[in-house]
Formats: sequence, C-alpha cells, structure tokens
Amino acid sequence: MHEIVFRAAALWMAVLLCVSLLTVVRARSSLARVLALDMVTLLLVALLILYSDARKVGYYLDAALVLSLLSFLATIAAARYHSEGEIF
Amino acid sequence: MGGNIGPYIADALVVLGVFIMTLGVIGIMRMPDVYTKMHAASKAVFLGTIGFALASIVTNEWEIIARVILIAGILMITTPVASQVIARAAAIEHELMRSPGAVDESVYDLVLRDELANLSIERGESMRAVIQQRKHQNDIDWQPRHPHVHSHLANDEEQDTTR
Repeated sequence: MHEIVFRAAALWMAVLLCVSLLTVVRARSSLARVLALDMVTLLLVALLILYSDARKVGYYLDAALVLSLLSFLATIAAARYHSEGEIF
Repeated sequence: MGGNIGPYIADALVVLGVFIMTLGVIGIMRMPDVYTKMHAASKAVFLGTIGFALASIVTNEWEIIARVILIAGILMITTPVASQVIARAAAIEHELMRSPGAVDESVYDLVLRDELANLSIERGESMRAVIQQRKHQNDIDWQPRHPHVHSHLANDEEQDTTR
C-alpha cells in the first residue's frame, strides 16, 4: 500500500474513533452504549491491522487478536449482566 | 507502467474498508434505537475489518497473513454472537423501538400501544420502568415471556407456580 493512502486511512480511522467515542458518551440506553463500545474496539482492531500492513511487521496483530477476544468477552458480560443480573 | 499491481489492489481494499466503516459509524450515530443500530454496527464494521485483512495478503509475509486469517476467523465467529446477546438483552429489557412504524409484538406493547403514542419517555428509560409502574396500578394482567428472568419483577405479588 502506498504511503499517502496509509496516512489518509489512518487519519480517517482516528476521526471515526473520535466520533464513535462521542456516540458512547451520548448513547440513549446502556445497551446502545455497550454496542458502541464494541464498535470502538472493532475500529481499534482494524487500525492495528492497517498499521501492520503498512509497516510490514507482525507484532501489532497480537494486540489486535487479544483486543478482539477481550471485546467479545466484555460485550457478552455487559449485555448478560444488564438483562439478567448475572453473567453465568 | 510497471507490472506491479499489488499495492494498487491493497489501496483499493483499504479505501473500500474505510468507506464501509464510515457507513457503520454513520449508522450507529443516526439510527434511532438499539435494534437498528445493531444492524449498522455489527455488519458494517466487521466487513471493513475484512477489507483491511484482505489488503494484508499483498504484503506477502507469512507471519502477517496467518495472524490476519486468525483474527478474521475469530471476528467472523464472535461478532454475530455478541450481536445476538445484545439483541436478546434488548428484547428482555423491552427496549423501546423508536423507528417509525415499528411495533414490538410483546404483550406489553400490544396493551400499551395506544398510550405509548402520547407517552413521553425520558432519556435512558426503558419499557421496564413503565411496565412496572403500570403493574403497580394493577392495570395489566401480564404474563412474562421469560419467567426466570422476570422473577425479580414478580416478587411483590403472589408466586403463581402453575405458569
């Protein structure tokens, strides 16, 4: 990938991150907040994949892997706690 | 014009992924309630991530490609599960459907539908508070769809075990 495309894409992903963080703050219900937080972590995973593409090093992807698994667990825990009052 | 077309394909895939993610973020900002927000968020952002993952094949380094395939597989499994859990929580909580013309076909909404048009719901208030208030006035003869979940709501009345 060319350098200019990488820079533009990283900048635009940062803008998207700021906008979705704003969405987390002003969400109407707590489930919408959980959903927006899940999307923030997915955007972070995508940003890490973009970095490892551009720099051609693999170790950003370890962080992306851990982040995707953690966001899955956090979403399920928050949603189940919100609806049923218990996680397991 | 060199014959090396790989970086251009990566450019196109990255631009496509950023475009799809922008659609997802716009959807999660503009959609009125949780159900429609989920429609935008879970699919669009995941597809954008898949676009970035496909762009990484062009790097032609095995350690990147293997990890990206692993991440894409994990996301492909976990994103629908997370969306389903959020949708189930919203259905149990009776989150308001705010999109125009939407009818929540649970018992409560069919009872309360005529009043809901005139009801002013505050920010963050879900149907559960309204239902509980109405239930204290003994207006609704309600039957829980998920009895094990709603047991704490039914505590203040006699436990009908025949349900």
